[in-house]
Amino acid sequence: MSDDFDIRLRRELRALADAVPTGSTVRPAPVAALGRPSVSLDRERPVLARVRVRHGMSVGWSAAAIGLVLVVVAGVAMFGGGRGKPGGSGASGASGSSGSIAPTTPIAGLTTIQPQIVASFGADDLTAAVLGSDGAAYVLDSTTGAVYWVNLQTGAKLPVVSVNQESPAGGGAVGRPQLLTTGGVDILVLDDFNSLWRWRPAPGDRTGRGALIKVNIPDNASWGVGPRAIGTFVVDANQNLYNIYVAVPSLKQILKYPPAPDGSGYPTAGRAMYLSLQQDVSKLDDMYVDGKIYLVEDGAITQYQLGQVVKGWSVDAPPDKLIRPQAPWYKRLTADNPNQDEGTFYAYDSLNRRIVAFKKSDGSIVGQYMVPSGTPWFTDLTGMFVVPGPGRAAATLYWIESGNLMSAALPLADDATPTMAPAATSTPVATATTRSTATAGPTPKPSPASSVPGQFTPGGTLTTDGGGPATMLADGRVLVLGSRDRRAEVRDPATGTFTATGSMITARSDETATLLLDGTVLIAGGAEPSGDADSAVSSAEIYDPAKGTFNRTGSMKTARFGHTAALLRNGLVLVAGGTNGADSLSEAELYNPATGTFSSTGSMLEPLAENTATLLADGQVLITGGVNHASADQTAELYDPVAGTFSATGMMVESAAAETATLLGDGRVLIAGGGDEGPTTAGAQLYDPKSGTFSRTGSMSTPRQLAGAALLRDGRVLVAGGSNGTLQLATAEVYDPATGTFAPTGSMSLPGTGLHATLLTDGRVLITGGLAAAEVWEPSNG
Amino acid sequence: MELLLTAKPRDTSLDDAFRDHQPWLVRRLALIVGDAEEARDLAQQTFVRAAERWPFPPEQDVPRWLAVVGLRLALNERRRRRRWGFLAVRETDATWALQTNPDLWHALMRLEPRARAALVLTVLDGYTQDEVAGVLGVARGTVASWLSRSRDRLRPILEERVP
Repeated sequence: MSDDFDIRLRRELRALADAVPTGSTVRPAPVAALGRPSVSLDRERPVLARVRVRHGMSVGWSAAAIGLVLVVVAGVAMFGGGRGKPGGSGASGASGSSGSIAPTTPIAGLTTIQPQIVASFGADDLTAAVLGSDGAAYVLDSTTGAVYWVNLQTGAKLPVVSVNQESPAGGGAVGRPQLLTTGGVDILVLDDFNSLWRWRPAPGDRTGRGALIKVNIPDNASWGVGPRAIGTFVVDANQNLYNIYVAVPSLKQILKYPPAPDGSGYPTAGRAMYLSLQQDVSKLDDMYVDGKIYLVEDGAITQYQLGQVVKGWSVDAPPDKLIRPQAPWYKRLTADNPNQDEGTFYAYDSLNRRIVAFKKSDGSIVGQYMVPSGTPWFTDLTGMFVVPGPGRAAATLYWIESGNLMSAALPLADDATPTMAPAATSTPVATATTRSTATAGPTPKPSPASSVPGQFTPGGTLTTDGGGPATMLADGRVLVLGSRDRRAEVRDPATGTFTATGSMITARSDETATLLLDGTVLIAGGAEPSGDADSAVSSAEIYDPAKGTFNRTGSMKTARFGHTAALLRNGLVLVAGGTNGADSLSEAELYNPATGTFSSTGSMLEPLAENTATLLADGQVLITGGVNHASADQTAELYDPVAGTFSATGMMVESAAAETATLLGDGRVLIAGGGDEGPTTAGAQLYDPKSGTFSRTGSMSTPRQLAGAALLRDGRVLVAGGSNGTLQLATAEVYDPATGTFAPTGSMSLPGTGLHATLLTDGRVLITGGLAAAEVWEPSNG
Repeated sequence: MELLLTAKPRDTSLDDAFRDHQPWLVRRLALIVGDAEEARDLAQQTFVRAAERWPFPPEQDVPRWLAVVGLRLALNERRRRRRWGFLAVRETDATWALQTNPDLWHALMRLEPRARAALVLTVLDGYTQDEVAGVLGVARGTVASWLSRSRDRLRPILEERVP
């Protein structure tokens, strides 16, 4: 019986393993890829990319990896296939496993398409692609600074507009091409001098011949640095006249230029501000113009008419919650019909790696397309267009990705797919492209309204990565530790600026920093980057604010990071929990500043990492939350400094890890958010030391973990940033113990997680941590 | 086992090693982290590490080294993501699993990650409990209890599937 089970288990696990798309057939050879690992992944995982930008590849490493060497040397080869047996489990088992579904079977509502490479470019920085009036693709290669003409049938390509190219018609040399669009029969190329170049294919030519002319736009200096998107709208097809739309971040506008009637250019006098209200257009991912304008920003598509948002129009949610639970994150938009409100939009959903097709007229879904499992496409699509098939034939999607121009037929999803096909001479009337944004990712939208006065302002540039703890010193300065190296800095309250101070003895992250009674700061434990592994350290050091130096002190008994620390009434420091890299720890110890040594004290009842420790009014320490092995913990414990023991107190209302815990003025403790590997919660709870129980209080407006929290002077609590489990947050809210409710209070300029909130002496709050620059929250000005 | 140890060719290029070992490494890691894309990323990172010390000394067992490093990266990746709060940053790429055996997949994903790793290593690759304990840095008894609990959880799933 057990044998049967083992055989079945092995067979089914193997079937699962065999079904894994390994990507080995499409990935580049390792040596070529090794120089820049996981570039496409970074782009695909926007939040991750954001963090990697700030924290580099600070992959957390296990202390136990030290044991690795021994394991490797003593080990015997049993894992997977040995040499000559690629893919130890083979690739044949999937179809034989009972109950398996052929990978090509469509999942409800999804159509799998078959990508083909039309043309390959040497570099992989293709940033825009449009369909020309000559039936060819035009592809902007930002690496070579050239726009290529590509024959869609043969894949033949040649550069037609390149940086430094001189136009025979005058106008000087082309700068570096930035944006690409079409207008009437023309291909338009905007260069980095804001010069717009017009490539007009020779009539009837199918070989990539044409003429280059500089478009006369005297006002282009007003576009500033980096117009974000450009689009056109044909006003007179016979004369090939079209309006030009340029999204200009510095003006927070989309500028509209009607053509001079004689086609001589775009006089400044005709310029109009398209948007009724200025708005940030610096993060546009795409712009589509067909009389109405569609902006793709922050993952959403918004329709504008006469400069205003059309409230009644939106894209329906694709009906596939079970299979693709993430909300779509649209980054590119194209359509198969240039006429207003007609035809089908195709939008690239970067989070779910698919193309969603929906009616232009009402946003209703007509189909969605994914690439075959195991192929890498649709991870980093940077431009696309659709060529409708003749009659009822399938349309064809063309897109650029990873240095290739790709194509795939889009099987008709249902009757809603338009049958309109352009005549041979018909041209795309309007398209638009935006500047490539490899690092642009989802940014949580700021909360629309602040019902609590208070706002964030820039808090100064950090000299370190600022990822370590922030500690208010006795003199009002704030010590901020780096998390990637030994650097540290202090913030001057008078100037609000950060300046470097002495270097730590040991580089560490996830350590604790605790202000001692004598004004020095104890820095204990953490994970030290060392070669292959971040290893937990037991060492500790003392920061002397007067001298600006770090000095070694006694080491902990247990190496740990992700632990918690609290200064006790007697001046000792309790250090509890954390992880050694493999396991959560229950060990706790006390630091004695007088002797500079750590000694063991009672152990926690549960091993916990990422937990909190809060000194209560009676001198005991409340330990909440944290990760017990792999799940968030719901137990809470009290440390009694007199007895030196931990004991259980009431159970938390809901489990939490990476939550915030803040001692309120009335002696209660606010626990807000948390999540870890479970769902992130918006819930908050109060611990009452008198009864030793937790009770629910008002919830935050959004789930948060790894937020920063600080008790304000007026008794309220600021909770800022963090992550909702999917995205980093820029929003903040304030808890009022009197009403038991949270209210929004402005947003940071950038989202961040793993934050430290420090109440400054002037009542404002300094936010540091996973942020490139510090932010300061200030309470109401009235 | 001795055969593999002694038959290790010395002139293997990193390209060959990648071709030989990347697929199964990705397969194992995908079962452990529950995401093919992440598994490919982890495998890539593992080969980056391998490239840094290539060529390996003759006594080095390459698949074993890759497995151990890949596994550690996988488990630590979870810590890093937990730390920075983006564990659920995007939808898991597991269509392949849902198309193969959704029940087993969901049950597997409910196991603690290291228990899952222990199960995969022992069942698919014949690791002993002692070896798994060594790789994961835990006591042998812990591994034994993980395996026992995991098997208990999976048993009803597989028995339902008997034709």
